[in-house]
Amino acid sequence: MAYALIVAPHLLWGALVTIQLVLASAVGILAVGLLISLAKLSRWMIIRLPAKVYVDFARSIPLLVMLFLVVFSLPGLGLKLPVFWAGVLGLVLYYGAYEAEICRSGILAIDKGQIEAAVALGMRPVQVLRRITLPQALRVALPPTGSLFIGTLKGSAQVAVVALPELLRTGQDLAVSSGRFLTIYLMVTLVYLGMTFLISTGVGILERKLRIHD
Amino acid sequence: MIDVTDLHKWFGDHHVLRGITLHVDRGEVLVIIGPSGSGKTTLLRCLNRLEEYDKGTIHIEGKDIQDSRHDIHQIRAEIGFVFQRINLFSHMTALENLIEAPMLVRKRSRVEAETQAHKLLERVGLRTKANAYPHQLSGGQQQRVAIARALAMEPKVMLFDEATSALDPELVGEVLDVMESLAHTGTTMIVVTHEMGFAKEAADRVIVMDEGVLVEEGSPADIFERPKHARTAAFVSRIL
Repeated sequence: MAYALIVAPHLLWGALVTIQLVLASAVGILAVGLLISLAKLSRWMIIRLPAKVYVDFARSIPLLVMLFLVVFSLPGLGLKLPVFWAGVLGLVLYYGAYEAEICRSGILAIDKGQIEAAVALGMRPVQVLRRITLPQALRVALPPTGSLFIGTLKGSAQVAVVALPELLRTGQDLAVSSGRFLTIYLMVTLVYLGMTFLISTGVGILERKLRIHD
Repeated sequence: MIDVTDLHKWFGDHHVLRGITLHVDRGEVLVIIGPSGSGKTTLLRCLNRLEEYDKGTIHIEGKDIQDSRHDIHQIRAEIGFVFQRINLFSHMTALENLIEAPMLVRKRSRVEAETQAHKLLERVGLRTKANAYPHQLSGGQQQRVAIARALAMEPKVMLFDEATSALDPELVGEVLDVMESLAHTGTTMIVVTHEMGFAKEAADRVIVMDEGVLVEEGSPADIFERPKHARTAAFVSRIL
């Protein structure tokens, strides 16, 4: 117990890195997801096709492979990123593809009649998108996006392999140096549980706030 | 104010509009009737280019609506459209539905748009429903909000596409009442409907369409009591 108190600050520090990693990734995932979903719905093949290739590619490889590609292969192409941002990029490219599919189904769920009504009132395509389509699509997309962010949090543990001292990596280092594997990994598990609980609660609250029906 | 000349439209192989020529005057209430599948709705949707047409021209106040020099969004803003399926914005209250386009398209201030919206809701008998969401309203109330939403743009012409066909029978009357009072205020209206009572009461002129052509036109009395064309007579006898 006493030992747990000693290592707790270290683990919380690691958890803080994990939180930063997930927050930064979440912003990127939303942006990529939205843009790629719109690209996939474009009427122009030249925009649609690259988006489709990206989504199919990203969803067909393991996250670890994506992280290795970004962290270890990009420097070979002359792109050197700090390891934190390389981790973010890997997570964004991987989970952004899933978010794109979530957003796309959200947009497709919107009643076409409402879009037509907006057009008939003289709204321009960007106005229709911003005021009619997206506000409704995002409501539909919110619950699966929350699940995806929990997935991102869990996936962020894999960034440990590229030596970023996030939660799991910090725990691993402590466990190896002290030999107290059970204590450390149980603590790591608890912190992950706490964080996923926070995300799902937050999304739940947001969902209730945005709900219009019933 | 509206001139349609030799309008043709194909859906694939299906020749839906086969040379429609039509003129509508300012302040006129024109009712279009005809069997389903005769092209009434398609004609109406062509008038604000919700549907593209393949041949012929449509001029609204002298502007060719397919001419790329005219901004189609601005042309649409001048044409109110009321849908069979109502199509209110479901994430907005009645009031928000009414002020959205005036603020976004007409660049009105919120205060100005809301003042006008409250007046219009009063006019369609829904003064107390300003803050209700569409799902909290009956079908008839929703359609009255939709009419008010179209009127909020102060359009030069109002198009009604079977505005009462999707409603429960007991809710049809309240919508027709709003449409009739609108007709009596001198609004230019083109109304596709199966409601012969409305046509008799409010129409200046009735057009009968069948299989993509105009079969016959005349006053309500001409069409309903003295149809010249056999197809008109057959259709009228079926629905009256």
